[in-house]
Amino acid sequence: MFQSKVYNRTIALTCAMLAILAITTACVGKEDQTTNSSSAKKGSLSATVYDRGLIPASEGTMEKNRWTKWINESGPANVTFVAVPRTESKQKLNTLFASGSAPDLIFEFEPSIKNPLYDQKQLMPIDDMINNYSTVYKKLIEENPALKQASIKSDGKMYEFGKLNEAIPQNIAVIRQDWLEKLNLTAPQTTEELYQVAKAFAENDPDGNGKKDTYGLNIGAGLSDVFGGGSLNNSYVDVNGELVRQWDNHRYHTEFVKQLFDEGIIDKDFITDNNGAKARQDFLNGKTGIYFTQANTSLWSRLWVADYATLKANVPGAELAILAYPKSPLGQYINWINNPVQMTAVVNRSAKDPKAIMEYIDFLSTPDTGRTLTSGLEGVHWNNGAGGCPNAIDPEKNKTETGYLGQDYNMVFSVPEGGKCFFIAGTFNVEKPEEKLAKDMFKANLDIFYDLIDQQASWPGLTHSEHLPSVPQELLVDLQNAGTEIPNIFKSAMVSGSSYTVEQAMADAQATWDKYNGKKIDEFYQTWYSENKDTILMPVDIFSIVNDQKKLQEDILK
Amino acid sequence: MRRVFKGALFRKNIPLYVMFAPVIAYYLIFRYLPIGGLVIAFQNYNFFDGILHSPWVGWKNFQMLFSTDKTILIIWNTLWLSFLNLIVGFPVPIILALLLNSVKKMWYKRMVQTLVYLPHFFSWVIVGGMVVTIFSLESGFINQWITQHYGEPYPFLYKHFSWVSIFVGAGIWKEMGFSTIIYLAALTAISPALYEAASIDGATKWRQTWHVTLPGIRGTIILVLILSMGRILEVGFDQIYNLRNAMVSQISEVISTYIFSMGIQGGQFSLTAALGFFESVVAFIFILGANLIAKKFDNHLF
Amino acid sequence: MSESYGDKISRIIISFILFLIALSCLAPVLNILSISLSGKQAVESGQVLLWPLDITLQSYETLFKGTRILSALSNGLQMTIGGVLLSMAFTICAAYPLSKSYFFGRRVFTLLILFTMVFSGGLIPTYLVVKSLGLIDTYWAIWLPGVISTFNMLIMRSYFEGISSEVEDAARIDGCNEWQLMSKIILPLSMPVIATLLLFYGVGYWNSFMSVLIYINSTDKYTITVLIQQMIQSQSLLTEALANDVQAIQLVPDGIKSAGIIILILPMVIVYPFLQKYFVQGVMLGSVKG
Repeated sequence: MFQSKVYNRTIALTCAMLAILAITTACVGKEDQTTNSSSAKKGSLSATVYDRGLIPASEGTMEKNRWTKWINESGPANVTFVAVPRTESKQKLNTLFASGSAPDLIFEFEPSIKNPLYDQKQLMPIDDMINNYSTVYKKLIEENPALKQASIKSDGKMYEFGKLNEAIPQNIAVIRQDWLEKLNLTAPQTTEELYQVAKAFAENDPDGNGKKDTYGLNIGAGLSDVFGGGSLNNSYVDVNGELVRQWDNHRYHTEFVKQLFDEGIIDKDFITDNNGAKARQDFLNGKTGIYFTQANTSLWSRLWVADYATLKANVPGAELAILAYPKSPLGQYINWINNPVQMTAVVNRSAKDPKAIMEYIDFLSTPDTGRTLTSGLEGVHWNNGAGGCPNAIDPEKNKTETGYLGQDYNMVFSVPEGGKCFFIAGTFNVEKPEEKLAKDMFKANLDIFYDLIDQQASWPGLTHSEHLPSVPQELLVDLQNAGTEIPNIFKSAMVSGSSYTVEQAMADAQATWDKYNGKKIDEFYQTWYSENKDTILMPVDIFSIVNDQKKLQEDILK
Repeated sequence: MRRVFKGALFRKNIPLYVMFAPVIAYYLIFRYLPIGGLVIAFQNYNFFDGILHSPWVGWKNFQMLFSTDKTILIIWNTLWLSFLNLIVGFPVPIILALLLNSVKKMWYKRMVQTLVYLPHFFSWVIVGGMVVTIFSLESGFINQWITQHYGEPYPFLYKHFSWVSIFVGAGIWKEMGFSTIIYLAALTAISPALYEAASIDGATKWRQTWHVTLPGIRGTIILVLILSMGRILEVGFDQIYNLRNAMVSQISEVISTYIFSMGIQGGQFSLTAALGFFESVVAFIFILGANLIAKKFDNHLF
Repeated sequence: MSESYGDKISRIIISFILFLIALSCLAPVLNILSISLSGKQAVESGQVLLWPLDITLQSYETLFKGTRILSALSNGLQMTIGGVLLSMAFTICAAYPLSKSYFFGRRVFTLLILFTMVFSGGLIPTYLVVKSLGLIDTYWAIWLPGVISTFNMLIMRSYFEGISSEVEDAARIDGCNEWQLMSKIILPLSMPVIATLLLFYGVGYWNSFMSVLIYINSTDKYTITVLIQQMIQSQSLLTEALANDVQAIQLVPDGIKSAGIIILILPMVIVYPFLQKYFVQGVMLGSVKG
């Protein structure tokens, strides 16, 4: 048959290709890693680093680039990096631990990933290595006992390395100043006034286009905090040492949103707006009067520089002002503050060289390392500017060479230790008008913030959720179920009009809590609280950290 | 048994076994060996003790799972959504294949074929976003049209019936172009002579389809149907995660999302394994059942 | 053969239905393409629908300069081609014997194989097996555990079974042995199912995400699907995660994500029409006479 030659050849070719492929891949697999030619005195360790897919090809990979090279050359140990995909870190770490091939030092934010590792006895306690080998970190925890406290687990030993952060508001509310002026209104100071202003924004055509197409506000980050907090396992109030579960915060919040929904003051699709994308679009198009959003660190710049520019491009007369959280029926609450004491690294129990690990952590905790691993090398990427803080030499080059750094290599660097140049307030280049505005707004925000603290505003919840313990195994599933169902009940009440009232929802919510062993969960937290009250990081401690940093902040923002 | 060793049959089988040997090795090493790991479902698995030494708890994980109403609810939801998917979604690729097959202009056929299989490559994050945009209460195209003509918008995504319809519909839309490929390939195996004979007998296009085309791909249809039974408890996590909202939580919590939320708080390996084990048993029973039924049509798998 | 009036109407209706369906599939592609070519502000404000606004190549520039996309593309191609070749070879070696009625143990093998389609040890046990073979961080870890898709294999088996036995008898009379029978006769007649499986396996390997993330440790071996999927999924990181992780906030802008998606599906758009050639009717025509 005429086809036979062709097909014989095809099959032979396929076999040959398979063979070649097999050989090449086997060879690639056996390729040796370039050995590190450093002195025999240095210890070695393996550490994880997040991979976000954002490293330019010209720089290499997150495991091997100019900064890993710098770390190995200037640091106290030889570090081999293992990349962990940021969005799937749990799966990756689980398989690595399950197969006994996890690295020595794990950098990870999520407590929900680190806590199970502890439960499964995969972690090495760090008390000994700190006592025996540490200088910098040891001093750090002596001066900041909160760091030590937060890292102690149920057996009384320390397990986590962490860092201190700038304690600043995590969420913010901004208001369209031009709309306030146009409608002759003043900024709302209570939630009742908030409702009135939002209603006016939605109904009185503040953008003057003759159409009723504006929203009073968006249901965004921080709105539930105005009413006392939205997280289920954080809804406790200390009454004479006893933890009393709060439901009124949820009730007032639900009533508020429900009223806004029913009266058409907000976007009726907010419950399908999964990550606030639609709300942001509405805001950028100039449709929203009050915008609740997350705004810490780089999000601050994004809001005040990029987004403000987009807003102005779409709506030339737009003016934004910061709105202090209004007072709720339960009292005045303060913005959620980002975790000032954040745990970020754990050690694998099978790590061979704790000394090297400790020296590496010390290295990472020093300001010089912190500076390099954030902004690059002096004279190459930055020089000290007029204010004594680094200014980029060549922003384009920096984008390529330092843009991917972020914080991933120095997740244990304590920002306040580095001094004012590491604070956000110090990173604005006041030569540029838009950055000057961002800085001025930052100051305005902090002024409001400090004021609220002086007024004794309450924390929206028991304490920062990262400092709450995880519940024991047998209650985990129940808490998880309650934690998904109850917020859904509230949301249903918000959008169901007259067919599902808030009273019904509150009753259902409490019934659901009881169904899922709510009492046992409450008891667990009560016991934990009674035993650990004096050592846990409570809001009063957070506020005192804020006040400690206040002087430095005001200094920079002068 | 004695027949096997008789000369010709035995000799005929040798080259087949030589060919099949690597296949046996593959299934043993990469499929059956890991199945041993299913013991996790009967243990209280933790990393420290590993698979070999974790404490044995027998049926306790299953008891824990099935003692809550929630588990029963999610299994019911899963079955229900999957079943709908099957009933409504199974014929669609077949019909699409028939429609495509009838197109005479090659360029049009190729173009439509290619376009139609593209949604398979979009992640549900994207498709979910698009679906929500189209059906939103206030800003969706459809409701804007409805508001103009009828006044009140309809909460497609909040009402159970419409949500389920959209859910199933979106899933079908996303996969139909890809699933149609099998049938397109099967259609090529039908001899044109059969069509000619039928049209000489005076059959219209519809009758030809009914009497020639469908029987021609009957084997493939039944095969795909039986194998789909193996997926009876699989309702994709991404599809649910990106389409669900608070109002439909009662009906949209399925096995895959349950496993995910169990995993959020901690490493619930054993519970997850138990649930997976249950899924597998049910799927296998369904496949065996479907195969028995298929035997009646003489198209069984084994 | 002239068409009846009824047939003509059916044809027009069918073309129209297909047109609508194709349009519904084209719209999302246009949307993503437009976003990838639009200016940042227009994209962020959600103004881009079916055509680009403020046309710019910025997104593609940033994608190519700021990420490892070229290497990821090359890795994706390598991994897909290698995988497809391996899978086709194994699948043929499984489907062919199983399609022969005289294959001893046929029913038992089929049942055992079907069993593995629904029962699986799960991620961790499979990982342990792969690790013990020393395959971690090589593409073999992606290829071998799933080298035969039971579904695909059964499709091929079904096709083989459908090949008329007369063809086989004729070949045997001509003196063919089993190997020649398979390579010179059965395979050439099976081009439609081979093209189908090439596509299925190709797409399967190209789209591998989880398995690459888990089994491959060196990020320079990551494929393009992993790169782009990470970008897409970073937007749905749990909000709490965003709060903890200062840098997650550096979400990848929509423009770049869309550019990535376009690059990702481009090979699929190119390969499929090419394979459609093989879905040709009447391949069996002429091979059996009388």
